[in-house]
Amino acid sequence: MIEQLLQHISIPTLMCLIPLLPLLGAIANGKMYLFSTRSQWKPSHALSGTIAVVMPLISFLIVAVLFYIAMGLEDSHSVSTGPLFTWFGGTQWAVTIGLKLDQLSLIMALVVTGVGSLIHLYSVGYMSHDDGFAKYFAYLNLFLFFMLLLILGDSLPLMFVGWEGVGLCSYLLIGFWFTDIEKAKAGKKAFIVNRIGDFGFVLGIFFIWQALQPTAQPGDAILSFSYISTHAAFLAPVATAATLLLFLGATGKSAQIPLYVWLPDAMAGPTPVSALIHAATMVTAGIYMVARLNFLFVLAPTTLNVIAIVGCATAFFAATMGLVQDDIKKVLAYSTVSQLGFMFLALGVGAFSVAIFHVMTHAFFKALLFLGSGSVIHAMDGEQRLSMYGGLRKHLPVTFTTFLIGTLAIAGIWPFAGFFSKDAILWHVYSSGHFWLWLIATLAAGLTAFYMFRLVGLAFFGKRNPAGPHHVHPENSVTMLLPLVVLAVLSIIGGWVGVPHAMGGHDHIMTWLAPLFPTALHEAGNESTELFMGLGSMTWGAIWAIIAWILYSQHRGWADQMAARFKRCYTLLVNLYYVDQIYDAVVVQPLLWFSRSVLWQTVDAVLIDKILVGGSARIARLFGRVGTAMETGLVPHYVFLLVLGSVVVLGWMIL
Amino acid sequence: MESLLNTDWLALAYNELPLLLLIVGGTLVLLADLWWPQHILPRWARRKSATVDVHVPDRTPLLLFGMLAALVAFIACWRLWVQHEMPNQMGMLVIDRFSLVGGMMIIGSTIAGLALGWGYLFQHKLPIGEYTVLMLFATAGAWCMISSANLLLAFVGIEILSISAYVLAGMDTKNRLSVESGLKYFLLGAVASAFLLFGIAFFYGATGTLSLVGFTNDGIMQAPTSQFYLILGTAFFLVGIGFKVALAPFHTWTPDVYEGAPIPVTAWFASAVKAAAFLLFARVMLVVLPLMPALGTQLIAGLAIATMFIGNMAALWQDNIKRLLAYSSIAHAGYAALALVTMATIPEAGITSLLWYLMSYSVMTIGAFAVVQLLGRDGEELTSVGALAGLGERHPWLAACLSIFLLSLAGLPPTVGFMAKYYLLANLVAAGHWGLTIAAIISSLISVGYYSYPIVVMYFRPVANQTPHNSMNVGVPIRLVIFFAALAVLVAGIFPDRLMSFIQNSVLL
Repeated sequence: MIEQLLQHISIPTLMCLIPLLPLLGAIANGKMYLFSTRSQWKPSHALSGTIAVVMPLISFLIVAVLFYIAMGLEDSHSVSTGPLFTWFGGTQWAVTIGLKLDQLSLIMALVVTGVGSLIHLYSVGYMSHDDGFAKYFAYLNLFLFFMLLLILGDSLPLMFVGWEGVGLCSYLLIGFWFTDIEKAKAGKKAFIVNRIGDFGFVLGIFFIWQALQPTAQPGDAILSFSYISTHAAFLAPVATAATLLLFLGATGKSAQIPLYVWLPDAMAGPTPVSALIHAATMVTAGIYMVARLNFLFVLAPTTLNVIAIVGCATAFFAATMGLVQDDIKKVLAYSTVSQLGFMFLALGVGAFSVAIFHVMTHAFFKALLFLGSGSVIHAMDGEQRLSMYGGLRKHLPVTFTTFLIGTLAIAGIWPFAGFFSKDAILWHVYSSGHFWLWLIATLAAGLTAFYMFRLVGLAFFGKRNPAGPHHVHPENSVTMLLPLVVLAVLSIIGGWVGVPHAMGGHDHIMTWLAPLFPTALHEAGNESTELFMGLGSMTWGAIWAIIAWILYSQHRGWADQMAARFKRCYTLLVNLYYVDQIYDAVVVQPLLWFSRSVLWQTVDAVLIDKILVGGSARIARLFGRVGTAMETGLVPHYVFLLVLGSVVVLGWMIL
Repeated sequence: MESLLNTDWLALAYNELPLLLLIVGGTLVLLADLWWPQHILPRWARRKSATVDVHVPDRTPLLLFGMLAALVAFIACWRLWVQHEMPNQMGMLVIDRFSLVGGMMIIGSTIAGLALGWGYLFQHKLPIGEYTVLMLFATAGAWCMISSANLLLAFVGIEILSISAYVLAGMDTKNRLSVESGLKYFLLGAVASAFLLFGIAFFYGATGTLSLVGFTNDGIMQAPTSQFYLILGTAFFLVGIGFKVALAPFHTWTPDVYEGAPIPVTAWFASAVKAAAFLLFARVMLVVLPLMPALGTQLIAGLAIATMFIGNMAALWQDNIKRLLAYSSIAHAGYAALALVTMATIPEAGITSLLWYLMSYSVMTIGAFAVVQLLGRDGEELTSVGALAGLGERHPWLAACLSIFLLSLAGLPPTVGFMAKYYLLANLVAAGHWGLTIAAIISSLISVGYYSYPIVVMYFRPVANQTPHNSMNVGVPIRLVIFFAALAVLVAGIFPDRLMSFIQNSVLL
């Protein structure tokens, strides 16, 4: 029995297990939850928690094993299951299901399963008081399944399945506490905004399909990444349109202008969900997609420019909106939007591997920050307003220390993880000649340091706000502290895999990813300039950090004075540039009006219901009257009809 | 005389074993009925509840014997089907797989009809022995119809079937409606038989033979009159057989007869009688259509459309569930006639879809009638659809079964009714009849309107008055019929392949 099982252990089976194990966990927990709703039996938290944590953990171990195997491979550093079976297809082409792990997806899979396992572990403590414990883990495991499908899928359609699946799980988890109507609405908003992006994504896939269809030999899996990359030349005529549409999909999933509005609202979900889905993994799917299809995007310089500009603008505007938020999770949400903007900026200037590097470090420190904020919220009985906090560093020492590490990392202070990746982005933007983008991005980086230290100052320093919760629950749950510590360590050392040559490092991650991406589109800059700029950006971040710390932990009055001085600016920021209101007035309300008065009351109620549905039924019944009128019950009438009918038949036959 | 002596009687008896069994079985039942003890009550009769008139002897064992005879005949059909790969003509009779499949279908319906009589006949004080005898003889007549190579024998078969059917319809002499239905059926059936016989006579005039083999271009006499005789013969035959299968405008007897006849009889009419008439229709059309291609595509198609629409639209107005099912049977005759239309261009596929359609229609209509019969109480039949209210709560399984049958009649997946319509429409499309296809689809859309009506009543309308329902001790056979019919509807609807290949193997022309 065991020998037989061992015979089946091979790279393809292991790869299939990576997404299947979380699916198994989701099914187990889902079944348990469904069963518990119909009976008195309740699944024990230990059981469902263990299943939920162990499944992603095993997946992580498998990915790690495969990572070492792939490292040892001489030529390609990638492993693949090949086509497992045909999903659907036509006479000329097919869509096959297959998984592939190469340098890019290995990094993503490591981050997703690794950080994912930690957040699952954290959730066991965080959600321990919730009734929907098993349901929560069913959704969370299901999310990991779809996310891994998105990453491992070797074709666009399979990636799209994962893409939609994570969107579904995101919706389910944002609205997890759906009895609160606001939270249910936030889930709905995320779902609808994402559909706009997905529409673009699907259209992009269709463009690619149409362009590649004539080139296909029977049985070719024309939408697999390998086929697209080898036939990229055929895509040149549609590249700009297709990539712009695909980027629209990315702006939806990765919360970029103009579709970023759902992400701040998505904070309605449980905090570990925000950490996993809306910071570390799902929202980076757009970046992963662009990096995955880099061979396509380099064919469309216009799109790359658009991506760079959109990314840069998002990075800056989101950072400004983060300056004035009072909700601790909202600050982190805008910070996420801003950091995603940095990543897109890197993609836009052609520095794909740098973007992936930042995805990785961002996953570490942003997950850490979210989990830390969750720890604070947990200790404060669900209070999320920064103004109600203060002086928490004495009550929550571990949370404070790890949160500070995360903040230093995101602010870009040497030698924390964020420094290396953010500095690499800024350097690549500058050295590729986009001076203005570099300037704005640098400003945004400074703002990042400012709002993060503002958060730290408000929450952990100063005095407790007497209006806030009186009692601070001590932090004593190991399941919640362990992930914090591990992520803090990762936030420190995570960037060391990408120390640039200018600073005496080896830049392992760039070397590792290099075979996948085109070599730099621009000339490499001077190494001493790079070193100097790295120092400069760290100093820049540190200055803003210190200003914020002084303003919000030492002299809180100054901040209020400044807000009063720049009242207009402040109102604009507090109201988030009125973007939600503008969308509502320009898009939502006209659509609602059209749907209500034209589509519903005219087209549906009158045309379809009354005339088509009711009318056809009435006509049928009317003719039915004729049919029943024949049934007089009198034999002579029947004979008459019979003879009449025979006359008709005879007449037809003879004439 | 010479030919009689030369006939291999043993072989004939063997090949006509089902027919022989039916006739012998019927005769034995007749004799047993005659000599049945009048005063000595068997033990099972004494154990009946007090409401039953103990002075009437319970002759249910005769019914059982009749079912046994029919069952053996069914098995004989199956054995013969396995043995006969090629048609085997013996005088006026022809034994081929087509007639054997038809035989199994009809004998199966007869078994179900006899099973439905179990308990019902005794409760309604109907003569059990006569019922059994008439059913068996009528089935023998149906056998003659479907396995005849000669129009004369076919006519004799029709008359055996019809006369038995008239008596069966009017069997409940205490019920005015039943008597009326028997009389109506007889009067109108006599007119139709006259047309039929007239048609056969003209056929004889055209070909000089009564054998169906004579219908070839060479067989038709070259005189200009014989062509004309053929036309007249076809027209009259069409009217006569159109009456038997209830094609509009010759359908008018159907609702009245189906409503008046006892339910087991009605169920048997809708399945066995209709199937037998259609199979004869198909056999004749198989030789006539090649001579007159336009006949199928225009006249029969027109009649089929009229039948479908009249049946389905009139059914919308019915509140009596027996009449509703009667109109439904008219509409289904229209669909089956469409299968005949396709026979003009693709004969094998057309016959396959006809057999498939008749088979599935028989199963689902018997099931539906059986549920309706089971719901009758205290010697009264359930008639109004409104009386079904609340059935979904009171008898969830029965309601589920009735829903399955009705959905199948409407042609919704995953039931056999859907598969039957699917093959039919696929054949229509393959034969290029787009207009007919669209008409069939529209009419079956209309039919969903009335098939869903009882379902809505069963599940969504609360019980008006909580009448204490009596325990339905109507016996196991009817429950078995419902169970197997529902099972067949679902299984054949989800896995149609085996049955389909069985039918396809039966129509090697």
